Amino acid sequence: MLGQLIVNGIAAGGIYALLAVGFALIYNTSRVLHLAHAIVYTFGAYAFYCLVVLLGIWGWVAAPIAVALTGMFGWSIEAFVYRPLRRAGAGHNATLIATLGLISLFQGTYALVFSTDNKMLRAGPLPVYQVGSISITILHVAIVGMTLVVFPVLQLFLTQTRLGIAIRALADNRELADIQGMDSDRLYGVIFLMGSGLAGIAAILTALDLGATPDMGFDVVFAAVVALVIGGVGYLPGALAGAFALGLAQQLVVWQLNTAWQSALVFTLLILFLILRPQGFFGARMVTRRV
Amino acid sequence: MEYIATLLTQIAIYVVAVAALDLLLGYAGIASLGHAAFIGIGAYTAAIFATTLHLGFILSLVASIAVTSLIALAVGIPTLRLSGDYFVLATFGLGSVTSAVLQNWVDVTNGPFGIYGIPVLDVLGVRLISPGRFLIVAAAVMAIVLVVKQLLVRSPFGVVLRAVGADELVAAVSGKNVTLLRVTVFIIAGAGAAVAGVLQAYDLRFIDPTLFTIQLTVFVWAALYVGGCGSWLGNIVGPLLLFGMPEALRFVGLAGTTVAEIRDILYGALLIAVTIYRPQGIAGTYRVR
Repeated sequence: MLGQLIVNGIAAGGIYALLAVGFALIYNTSRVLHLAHAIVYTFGAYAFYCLVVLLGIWGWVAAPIAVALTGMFGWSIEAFVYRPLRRAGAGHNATLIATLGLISLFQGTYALVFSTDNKMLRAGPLPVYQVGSISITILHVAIVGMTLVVFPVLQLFLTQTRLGIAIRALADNRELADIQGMDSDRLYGVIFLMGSGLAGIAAILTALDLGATPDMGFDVVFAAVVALVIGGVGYLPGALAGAFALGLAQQLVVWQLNTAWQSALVFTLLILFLILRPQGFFGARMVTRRV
Repeated sequence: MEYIATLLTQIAIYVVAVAALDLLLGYAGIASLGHAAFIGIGAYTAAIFATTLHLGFILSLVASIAVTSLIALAVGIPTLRLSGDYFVLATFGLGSVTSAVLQNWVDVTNGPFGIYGIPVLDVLGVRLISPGRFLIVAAAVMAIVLVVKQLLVRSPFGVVLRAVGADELVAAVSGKNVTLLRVTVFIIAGAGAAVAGVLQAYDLRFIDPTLFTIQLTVFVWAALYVGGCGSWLGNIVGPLLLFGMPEALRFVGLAGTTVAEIRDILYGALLIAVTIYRPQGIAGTYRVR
């Protein structure tokens, strides 16, 4: 039982990690508290559903297309909502309001187009490997594998490539990056593209198991943000550790109490960390701006 | 007529919720995503007191305000010391945890089934049983809330409130106790949200947890922001417009089952457009920063 919960917890942690790192990329550079990441994530699931179930495209081909579409969806949110707001000199709360507007707009759209019913992406149970008393599905393996591939690649990208270094410069100080002649609008676009693509991967992996609903994104993105607070926002390995720790902690709650109290646990952890250790476990502090 | 009265009752209830949020977001610049949680806590407290202890309207209103204020105090003290995005996250979490409690604390909240049989109001011996009749009560409460709000923002307290909203640092340097002020306005807004919740409980006479989710928070934010912050007129215009638009669509002949979705889409799009093109809202004086 405990072994099974640990496996489930690691899988959940992998999903949180993929979302958390995309969210952190966006947050650290643009300073947008992009809660609409939840509807970008949901977009990924529905994009995959359209390609596979409605158009009948083979899953292995459909998955990269859906990820690319999700990335482009995130990019267009940057280009058509956040960029004009930035140009208009909108502040923090105004941007937050626009984010809420996006959530409402797309949640309504999903419900209108796909209805609120759960859209299953596949029929029948997933292939299972039995290791002793623990059953591991192919998705568990895929989630962990994907996390193990994505993180080193991302770390290399951010430290070794010109574009990655430019992104980190932008995260550090936008004015200086502008003065250096970097095209910050283009960089923000790239960041939203990448972060949203990662959300697309997470969405497909989740939806293959649980199907897609219009509100599937909220709890999971909130958990991912909390994982980020736990691990420290500016530190990628911290986000990874925070995500797995949160995934495991949630499963332990399921074991000892009840699924229903998972969100209470996430909230309690958030409050505890915000009050006692806002810089996160590893000490990379989330920067908040005054006014 | 009854249909119009029912609609106006809902609008009046939302004006109360919007006015409460205006103090918090419009004046003090505190971005709370927990507004629906306080409306829900208010509604549930009143519904529970009214159905189990058979308290009258006034008593359950008072009890509900008291309970919600206490919860706002308990939540506000640790979270309001956090700044900016941390606070937003904490209140977002408050919303999801409140939904979880309403869904799962079955002994008290009756879980997903909600609370039925909230009593019909008697006013001066007239039973307000038909749907539109409750409008009188809702409108009266709305008027009181708006007057109290105006008095509050013109008082010295209101001046400091605006100063904190404009520049917290300057207010602190001027010797104002910013944290105390933030906690106070958080409690007042919580109490206002509770009033809206109580009205909602008595108007619908049935409440369940799905009424008080993050979507309600977004809706109240939208109504406040589209109408415009820092203005009583804006507080009325916002709900009027957001309720009016989908009703207009209904008359154009769009199917009834999709009205909720179309409403979400409309006010989402409106919210984005307003933040970009008219950041002070339709009738507002303040720009949310």
